[in-house]
Amino acid sequence: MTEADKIKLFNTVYLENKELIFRLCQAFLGHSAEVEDLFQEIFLKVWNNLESFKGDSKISTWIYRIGTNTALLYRKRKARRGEREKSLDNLPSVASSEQHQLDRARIDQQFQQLLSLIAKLEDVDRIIITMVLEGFSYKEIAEVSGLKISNVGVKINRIKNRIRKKISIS
Amino acid sequence: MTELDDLQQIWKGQSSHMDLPGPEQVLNGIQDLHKKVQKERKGMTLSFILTFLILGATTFMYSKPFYIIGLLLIFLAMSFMLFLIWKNKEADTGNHFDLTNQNFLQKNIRFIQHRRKITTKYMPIYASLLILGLNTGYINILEEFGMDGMMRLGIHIGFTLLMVLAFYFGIKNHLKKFDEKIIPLLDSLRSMEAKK
Repeated sequence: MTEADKIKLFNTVYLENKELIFRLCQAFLGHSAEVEDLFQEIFLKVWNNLESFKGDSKISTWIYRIGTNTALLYRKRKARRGEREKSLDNLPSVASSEQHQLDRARIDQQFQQLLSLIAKLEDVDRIIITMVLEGFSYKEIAEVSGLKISNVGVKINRIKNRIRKKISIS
Repeated sequence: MTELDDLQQIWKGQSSHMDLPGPEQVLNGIQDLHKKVQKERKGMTLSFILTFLILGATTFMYSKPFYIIGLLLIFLAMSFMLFLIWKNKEADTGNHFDLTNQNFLQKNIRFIQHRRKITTKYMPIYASLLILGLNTGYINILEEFGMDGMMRLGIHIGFTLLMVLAFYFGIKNHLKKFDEKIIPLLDSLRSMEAKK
């Protein structure tokens, strides 16, 4: 692959997946200022590994694997520095809602609620639920996480029940 | 609309708000970072070569037997350590970010465990060789100052104790850092395996 081809492929991959990856970063770090650092780090890893992509899976699945692995290590580094809790504290609490009338504001509020709940899940559960919300199939979730497909469905239901209990969808 | 559709709509509904950089901007950032890393690597290689050149040159200028033996021991210690680092580099996770989460965590854990083993098992060997090398080299250097035997012995013992303490606390600190790194990874892997 020539440098020009690599840049061209990166541009396409980036434009198609930037929002998906940014939401993944938010799921791991909330609204911490480090979201942008993690976002950049993930695409650095994508760039470094781009030539090793063999096309066995969809590129979005491959990117999600890189994204989740980078986030897992990044989060461990953050946890060591004692910043994890601080970034989670930045998220609004689930209880502080209900007043907004406008649709946009309501979606924002619900997004914050959802993000706050996702941020409190274990890493594995967080990866699974974000993939469900992005519309990945069970097979793709298994390809990213390494879990067996048969267990993915059970796991998803368990997480959805936990979220359903705490979030109000209007 | 199903509940999942609602959640997906909320989740993806944020996208229109996002003001993310363009690909050129991200690529420029990546390339700047690559340049910085390359510059650092060049600097490290240069300083490493310079150290060996300076040490090599002094053996010609100061060709006393203990000094040369001391330098050889230091060289042996450094080569031993570099070999271990290079060997561990093969297991490095740098290019394995596209593994499944589970395999990636396992690989990271193995990598950290290997580094921990190097620190506990081989670091004392490296420290002993280095201390022995420095002490041997200093036999000739201290002779030049015309000190009596007791004074020189005192300096050797004092220096050795200081080095042993420095290595002891250094190793202890390293092990603590490895444990801090590995425990959260083990927790994640355990929670993943429990859900298989």
